[in-house]
Amino acid sequence: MTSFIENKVRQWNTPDVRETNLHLEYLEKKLFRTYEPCLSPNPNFWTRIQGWIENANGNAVEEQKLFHSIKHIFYVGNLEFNELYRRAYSGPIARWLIDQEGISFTDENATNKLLSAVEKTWFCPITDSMIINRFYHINNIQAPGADLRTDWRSLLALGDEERIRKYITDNNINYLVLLEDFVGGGSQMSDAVMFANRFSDIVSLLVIPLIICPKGIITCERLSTQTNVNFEPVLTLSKETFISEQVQAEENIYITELRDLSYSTYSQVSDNIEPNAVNTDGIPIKPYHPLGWDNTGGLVVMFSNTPDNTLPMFHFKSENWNPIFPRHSRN
Amino acid sequence: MDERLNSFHDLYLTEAIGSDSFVKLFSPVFMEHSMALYQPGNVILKGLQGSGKTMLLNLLRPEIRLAYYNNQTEFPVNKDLRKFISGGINLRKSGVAEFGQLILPGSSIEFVRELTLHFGDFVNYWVVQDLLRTLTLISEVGYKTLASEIGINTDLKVFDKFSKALSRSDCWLGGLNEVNSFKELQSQLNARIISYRQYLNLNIDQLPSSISKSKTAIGEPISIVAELLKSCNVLDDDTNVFIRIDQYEELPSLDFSESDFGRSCQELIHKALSARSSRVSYRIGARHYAWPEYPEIFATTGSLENKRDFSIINIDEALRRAENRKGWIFPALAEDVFIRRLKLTKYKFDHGVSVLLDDVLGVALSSDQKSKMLVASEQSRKSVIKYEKNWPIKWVDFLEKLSVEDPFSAKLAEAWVRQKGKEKQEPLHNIPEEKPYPWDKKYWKKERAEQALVQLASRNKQQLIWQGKNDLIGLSGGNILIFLFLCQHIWDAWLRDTRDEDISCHTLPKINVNAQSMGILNASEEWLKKPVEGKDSKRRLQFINRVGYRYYNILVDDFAMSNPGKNGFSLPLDELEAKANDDVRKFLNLAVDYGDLHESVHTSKTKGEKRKKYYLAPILCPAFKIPYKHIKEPEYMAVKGIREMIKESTQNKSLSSKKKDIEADDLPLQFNLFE
Repeated sequence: MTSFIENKVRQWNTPDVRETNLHLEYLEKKLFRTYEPCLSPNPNFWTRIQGWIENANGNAVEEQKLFHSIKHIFYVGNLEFNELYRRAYSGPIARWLIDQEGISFTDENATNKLLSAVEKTWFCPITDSMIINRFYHINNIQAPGADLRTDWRSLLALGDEERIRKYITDNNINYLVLLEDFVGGGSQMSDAVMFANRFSDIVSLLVIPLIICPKGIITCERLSTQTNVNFEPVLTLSKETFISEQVQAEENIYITELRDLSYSTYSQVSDNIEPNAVNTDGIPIKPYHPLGWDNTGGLVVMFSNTPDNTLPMFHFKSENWNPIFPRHSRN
Repeated sequence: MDERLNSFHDLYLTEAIGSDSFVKLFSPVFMEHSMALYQPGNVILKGLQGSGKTMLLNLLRPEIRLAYYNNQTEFPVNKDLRKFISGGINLRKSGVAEFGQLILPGSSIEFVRELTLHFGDFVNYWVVQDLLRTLTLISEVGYKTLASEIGINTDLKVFDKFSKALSRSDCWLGGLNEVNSFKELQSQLNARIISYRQYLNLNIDQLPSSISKSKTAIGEPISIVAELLKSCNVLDDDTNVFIRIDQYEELPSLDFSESDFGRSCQELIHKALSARSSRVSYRIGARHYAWPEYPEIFATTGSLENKRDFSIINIDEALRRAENRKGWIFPALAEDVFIRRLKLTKYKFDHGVSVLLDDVLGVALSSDQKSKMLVASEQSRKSVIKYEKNWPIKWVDFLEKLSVEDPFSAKLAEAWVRQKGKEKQEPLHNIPEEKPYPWDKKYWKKERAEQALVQLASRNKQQLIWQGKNDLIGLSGGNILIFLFLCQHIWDAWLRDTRDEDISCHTLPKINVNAQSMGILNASEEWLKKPVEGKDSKRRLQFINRVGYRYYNILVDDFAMSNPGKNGFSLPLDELEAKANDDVRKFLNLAVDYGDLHESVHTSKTKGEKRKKYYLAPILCPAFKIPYKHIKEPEYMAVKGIREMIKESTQNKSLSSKKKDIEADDLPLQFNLFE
């Protein structure tokens, strides 16, 4: 038996295709096989890629476009997230705590003071997609007091403000650090941050998006003027790595090709639902737009899931479309 | 189930493995061609990257000798040549490159000259220390039989007597204090090397005056050591002392800041060889491009002479196939290396060693079989022939029918009718009716088989098929690194191809044609990127591309197959050696030295004319879809034509140079605030 994709690579028969094949082989070994929504018994990457290529219904040119497109995905694996956890802790969080405590650079006791500040800090996730337990483990954080690590989106929906205040006071918490793994436009984060801001009279607040999109930055800037919250992203994705609706001057050729592909396949991806369609209640219908939620045009796939502002062709499963990284959706 | 592994994943395994694994991996097949290494006289071991220089030199090292002894494995050197010890220096691993750190753009000539002499002194101390280490290792309890075989007296009193005598020798020029024991001697040598390392790494501002005022002459202390080892009865009189100098090509790379420091260091090494000492023999491992045509001797006007001051073992020359296949040892070496690699991983097999490559790769396909794979469908077979308007309809019908039945024969028939029809009209009207057809004549067919496949693949937009032991060996071009590189990629392609199959990691694979062909193509395309390393790399890469595309086009467009051997070029020797053509000759030599081109003597079709022929390295041929086999006459060219090709290729702006990757080491170091 010969694997489907090896056969295709032979048929397509170009140096570019062969190079992409070796590239994907490498990425699969190092990254793609960690994609949690597709862990066994779900189909593995090499099985999914067959469905992905078959989306082109035998059109060899389209098949190759789909094949090449995968290498442009920005896949953030679990090891990369471990690094983001480390960077967040030793970078913006440490600097912020040093500023808050007024620790001098020349203070011989600086490390102990910093560790003491950590003990007075409550690290919490904003939503349940941020795996806060791993953040604690990776950074070996000792926080003997505040051992509840509830996400603030849930606290907003279910929590009692007075009980939260009491918990903060009882545990001598001076600092509240909220973390989120991925911030797209920031809409999901905003309400939770506004809720946390109600406690700014008893704690200082820092919000750390581990990965943030340009639209999320704008939201953070707006929130920082409305609240007492500080924002310090770890990895800010540049505007140039997103696919805009309009062709940009001097944009990279792969961006142009991906835009063309996402628009040309959209009716098949969406089972003929028009872009920006809404239901009778005015709620947008998935997959929203060829460029994804809020027309963002993202290329991010995380090992834990794919954001819905990534191009839907990569993650949206429909009657007529097999995505390469199917998204696990809340609803 | 365990994950299936690629036995060839690590190409440079033999440089990283321990001595015991070396014993399992070292192939003795080349030994009969390297016997000069184990006999008195200086030897330059030349070869391309990965040709096995270090492996052969390592066989001289005491650790390897002990490993063979411990493993009770026969040492692969003739019994009557085993009486030797060796010491040496690996110019890459010993930190010699650090001498370069001291040379700044404004460094004076005097400073560079003195630093060169310090380099010589450093080499002396390092090598002597290594020789003493060899003695220590082999004289350990438990190796008496081996020590006796080598001719080492293991009595420590004799060692101490030797040490005392050596420390008193004038050769140190006051650099050593008198010692009473072997250990004291080792300690003093070590202290000097440490001082050098401190200085080279800028940990001390200057060398202690006791060192700078006692620089030794290169080679002299080494020679004295060898003499005293014998006169003090540490070594038997007939025990040879070999000095290994490996990675000689490191030295030219020290020529920066216009200092010529690297070249001066090379000349110092040449000076050691020029002593023609009967006490020690040097073994120098060097890549072709690094060993100069005229090895000049430091601070003299003289240079070393081949065959008088040294002899050369050219590994590549010895392993490449000559016109005649008889006596070609590379296939046996490759098979042996293949088996040793598989044994080191998890594969299980117990059958005869001579057929393993055939077992894994299968029987070689005939040209006829390959052609049927290249044009599998009836529809595609109908389009393999390019018909001419003036051909009689009978011929067209015949060829059309034949191409469906036997596309290979049809392609040859097309060439035959073009050739014969050009000469006279008769063949155009008389179609051969019975087999064997005229184009089936043994040599006519054999000479055109490869070109026919190139044309069939081209007409059907396919890659050529590369498969079987002969292709693998032929594409390796006599280089064991390339052989391993090809095996690595074939294995990878097989692992990809069968990734969904439930195959035991212990089962020896049967690799299908498609996986072999794809693996070889992947390897070739990757190898094509390699010439971007080294001197004049961009021009060489552009020239290679020009040559590759040129011969692909010639082979594809020559429908009559009148010149099936045109996958290389030949140049007249007198023209090539003319002073006015130095530029072309040097460029071609460079390409040959880096392994981009293979060069050999060409017997001209013009009587008495001497020529040289050049072909692309076989590994590059799949990327250009041209055959690696050299059949019939290459293209006869003049030097002017090659100069033109070099010029044209450098004007091709589509071949861009690679950007330098940012290494992790370039990034600033970030400390952890919580520690």
